[in-house]
Amino acid sequence: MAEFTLSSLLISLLNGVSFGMILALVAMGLALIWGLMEIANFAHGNFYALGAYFGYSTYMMTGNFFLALAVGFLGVALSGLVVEPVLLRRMYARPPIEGLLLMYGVLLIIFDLIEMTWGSVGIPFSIPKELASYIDIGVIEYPSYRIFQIAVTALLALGLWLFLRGTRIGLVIRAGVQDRQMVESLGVNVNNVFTLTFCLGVGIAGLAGVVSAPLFSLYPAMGNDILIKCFVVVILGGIGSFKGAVYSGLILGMASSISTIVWLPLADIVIYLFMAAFLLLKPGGLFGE
Amino acid sequence: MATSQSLVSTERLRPTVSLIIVALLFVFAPYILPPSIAADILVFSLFALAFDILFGHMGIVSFGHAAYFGLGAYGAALFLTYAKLPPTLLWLSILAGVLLAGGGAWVFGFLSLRRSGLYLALITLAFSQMVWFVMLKWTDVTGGENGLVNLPTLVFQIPGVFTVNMNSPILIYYFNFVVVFVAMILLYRLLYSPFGLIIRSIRDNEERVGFLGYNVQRYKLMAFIASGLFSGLAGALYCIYQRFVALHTLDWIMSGDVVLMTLIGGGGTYFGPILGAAIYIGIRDIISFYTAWWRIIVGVILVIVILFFRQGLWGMINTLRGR
Repeated sequence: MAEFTLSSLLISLLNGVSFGMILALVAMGLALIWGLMEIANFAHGNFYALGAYFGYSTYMMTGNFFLALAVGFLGVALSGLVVEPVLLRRMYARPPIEGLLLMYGVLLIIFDLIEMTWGSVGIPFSIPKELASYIDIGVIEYPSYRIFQIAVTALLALGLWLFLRGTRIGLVIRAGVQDRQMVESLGVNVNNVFTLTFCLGVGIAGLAGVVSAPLFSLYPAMGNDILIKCFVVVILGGIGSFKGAVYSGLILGMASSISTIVWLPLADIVIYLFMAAFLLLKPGGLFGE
Repeated sequence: MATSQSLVSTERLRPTVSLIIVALLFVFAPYILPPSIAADILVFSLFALAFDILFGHMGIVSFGHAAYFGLGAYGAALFLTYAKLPPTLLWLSILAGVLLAGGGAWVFGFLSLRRSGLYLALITLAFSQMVWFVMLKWTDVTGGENGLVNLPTLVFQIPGVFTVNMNSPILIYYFNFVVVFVAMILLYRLLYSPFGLIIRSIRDNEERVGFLGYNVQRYKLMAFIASGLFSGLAGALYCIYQRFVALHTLDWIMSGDVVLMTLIGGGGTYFGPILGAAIYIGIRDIISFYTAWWRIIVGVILVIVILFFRQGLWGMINTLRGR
């Protein structure tokens, strides 16, 4: 157990931001898909894992980490292009819970595909050489990869926010979250918007998978582990809420990270305690209706 | 058609006859199927039936029912490990498991029933993961990843009359069969009582049930607790049969399994979940005999069932019979 000092607290805080940004990034796609299509994407975590493995293979072949990031995003987004039109589209007219069950089936399929391709044993993913140093940030030395990761995830979140705020497609997506039928009756081809949002959402999860792979290494169940935490993020943040996903991702990341100073096993449970407390006191979530 | 008098009586008789057929199938199952599969089908039929109180009858999806199955199993195992009791009183461990699961369902049900639909499914899932983590990290008591092993066997005794040491799988199977069958009858009575009628009305139109003066939230919680208690019983019996308990009883794959069983058999139909449990365990066992990739096949089956056979097998049988 870490000794409780100012520098250890600072490290925990930064680790909390680092983990929280990954949670937020994965949860954003989840919240968007949920808000727009009323689908709880159970396979979201496995798209994250798929991205991590795509990135790993690319990095092994080319040694270029930035290419790995791109392949992680594009590969997963393309697989979304198969899942959404072929399977998910049939579920929109049905009760939302059936979409969840369908995606659970997709989760099982992706899980086994990952095990078939990359094996069931965990694979270490070492931090790219250029980023394997420590940076002196005044009080402490902090791994430069973590700083890189925080920067990349923050830029992505900013980029996504600008996309949703500043473009016409972003406007349509936000309007769709508010009232899907209204947007449809205004003559927008909603199907294309759905496909785009799904691919974007899972693609970002895939990219988050590549970014976090050097921190947590690769194993087939990595998607399942992050999925439930991201669902808690969405439950706390409110569906379809971009802001909610970022705030509650950061809050949960910090809570989980700081609790490791207090008592190590607490880190895994504190997220659920937060959820229980919110349900008691504020069942609608941070930015819920 | 016969007179209405005899129509009523055959309608009443039909479930009794069906229950007797189910019982007979379970009596002969260990001689037809490999005994371990028969024992699994027995326990998971009860689990699926308990889950279906919420899923098919009340229309809410809990995606964390492994919590109650696992709490039942762990409750029984912890009791068997730590209670300093004579062997003839060890059957109390089943009660311990049931009560622990019921208590868990009470707390988690109270919290998660504040939301509905997708939210509820995910909140129940999160709570079951919390229980999973507690059992994983509390190594001193729960054995962590190894679970609790080498549990003592139950002994039944009426002094001076007989003593039975439950040390053979087949003895435990028939003990479990008796308990499961009694539980199935109890569940039948519960589901087709006024209580069952109310929870099905909640499924069909929650608001209207509220307007009729029923305390909807309380009925929901009661159904949740009942489901938790019977799931816990299934878990406790599973532990008694396996003679060990491990984390897979709490794994969310287990929660998914019970949804799948109920879905395949048909929710809300009483015999559907039993049929679904038998088919699911059968399929999984046959597949895993040939290949390690059972998940992908189960996943494909699930996708097909959701897309094309939403009412499940028993639902389809009912439709074909025109009911």
